[in-house]
Amino acid sequence: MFEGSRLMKYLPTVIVPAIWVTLKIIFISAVFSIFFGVILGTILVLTDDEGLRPNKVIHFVLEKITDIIRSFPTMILIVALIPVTRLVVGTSVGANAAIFAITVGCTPFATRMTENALLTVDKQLIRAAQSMGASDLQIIRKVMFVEGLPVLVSNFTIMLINMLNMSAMAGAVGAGGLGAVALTYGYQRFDDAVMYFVVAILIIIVLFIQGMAKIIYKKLK
Amino acid sequence: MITVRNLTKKYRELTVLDDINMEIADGEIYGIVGVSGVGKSTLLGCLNGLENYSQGSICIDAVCVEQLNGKGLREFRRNIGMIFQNFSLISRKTVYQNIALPMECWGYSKQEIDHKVRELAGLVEIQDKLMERPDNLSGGQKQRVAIARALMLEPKYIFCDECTSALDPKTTNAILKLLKSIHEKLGITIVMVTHEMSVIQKICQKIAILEDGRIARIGPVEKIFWEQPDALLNLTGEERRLPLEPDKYLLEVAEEDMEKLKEFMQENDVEYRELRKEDV
Repeated sequence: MFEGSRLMKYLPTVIVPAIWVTLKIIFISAVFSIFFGVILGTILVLTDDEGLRPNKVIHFVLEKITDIIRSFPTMILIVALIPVTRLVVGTSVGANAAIFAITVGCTPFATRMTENALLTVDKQLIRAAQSMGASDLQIIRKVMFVEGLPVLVSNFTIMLINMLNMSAMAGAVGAGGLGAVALTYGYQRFDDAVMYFVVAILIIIVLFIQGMAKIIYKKLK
Repeated sequence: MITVRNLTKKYRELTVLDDINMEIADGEIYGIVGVSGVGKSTLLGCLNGLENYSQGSICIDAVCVEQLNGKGLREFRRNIGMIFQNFSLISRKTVYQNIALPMECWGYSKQEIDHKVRELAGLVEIQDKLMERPDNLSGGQKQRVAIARALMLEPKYIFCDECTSALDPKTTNAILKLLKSIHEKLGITIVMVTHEMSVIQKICQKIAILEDGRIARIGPVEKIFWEQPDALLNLTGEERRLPLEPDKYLLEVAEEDMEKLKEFMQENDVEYRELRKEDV
C-alpha cells in the first residue's frame, strides 16, 4: 500500500519542520485566544443579569459578536479574514497569518468556555465573598477563578484540540504546518503513507494534550 | 442596633417583602422564622446590602444601607459576618486559606492573619483541620470553618442563613451551642434565619414570624411559644405543641394513664400547658 512512498524523504525536510510550525501556531494562538477569551468571558459573567455588575448593553453586544464569529465555518472565516489578516500581519499566508486567523476564530470559543467555567461557581460562594466585603476584583481573582479553574482547564483542553483541527484546515489555504503537508504531499500526490503518518502525529498531539490536561485537572481538583 | 422601617421589596410585580418593621437590639439572638420561600433569606440579604429593596429603610448603628454604595457598602459589611446553609467554602482552598480570606481581602499582614486564624480555629475547635480541604470535613466541621471565617473581621453582628438546615440534630445542637458560647464570650448580636422551631427554641431570645412577606408576629420567644403556640404549629406543620423547656414541662404519660390525666385536668381546670410534674 505504501510502496513508492516518499515518506522517509519528506520526514526530515518537510514533516519535522511542519510539526514545529503546527505547534507554534497552536501555542501562540492558544496564548492569545485564552488571554482575550478570559477577559471577554469574565466581562460576560460580570455583566450578566445576575452578575456582579449587570449591564444589559455590554452583555448583549459582546454575546452577539461572540455568537456571530462562532457561527462561521472555520475555512470560510479564515478566507473571509484575509483582508484583515493582510492588514494586521502584512501577509495572508504562512504561520503568522494562521495565528491571527485562528486567534480570531478561537477567541469567541475561549470566551464562552470561560463564561461556562465561571458560571459553574456556586452563587452562594460569591455572595459569601461579597458579605465579607471583598471587592469585585477580589471576588473574581480569589473566588471565581480559584473555584472555576479545573473546569476552565478542562474547557480549554477542548479548545486546544479544536485549534489543532483549525490549524490543519488553515493548511489548506496557505498556513503551512501538518495540515498543508497532509494535503499537499499526501492527498494531492496520492502518497497515503505521508497522509496517514501526519494523521498519526496529529493523534499523538491530541492524546498528549488530553493526557496532560487530565493530569492537571486531577491535580487542580 | 438594627432598625428596619417600612421595608418593601418587589421582584417586578411580585411583592417579596411587604412593609417590614423590626428592631434588633445589641447583644440579642434574634430569629427570623417562616416557611420556605416566604422571604426570610431575602430579608437577611437586604440587611447586609446584598439585596436591593424597593422602599423603606434599614439602619445598622445609625448607618443606613440604602445610602451606601461601593466602598461604603464594603466597609459596612465588615461589621457583619455571614454563615450560610451550604457552608460556602472554597473547595480548592485549605481550611486555613478559607478562614484567612476575609482578612486577606482587607489587606492584613500575614502575621496578623496567621494569629487570628489560629485563635479562631481554637475557638471553634478545628485547629487540627487547618491544612485539610473542606471536602474532607463533615458538615459540622465545615460549618465551624464558616463560623471561624465569619468571625475573622471581628464583626459586631453574625447573620445565619439557615445555618443548621443541612446538619443532623446532634451536629445542629453542637453548632448552636458553639454560637451561643460565641455570643456569650464576644457579645455578638446574632440574627438567625430558620424554619426549624427547635433551633429557635434553643437559641433565640426574640423572633419575628414571616408570612407571605409580612411580619405576622413579633416578640420574645417564650411569649410567642406559650401564648400563640398554634400559630407556630400552622407555620411548621408539626402535629404537636412544642414545650419550651422539655426538662421542666415535658411529661411522658403512658397511654393507659391518659384518661386519668384528662379527668384530673378537667377536675382541676388546668390546661395541659400549665402542668408541672409536681401538679400530678
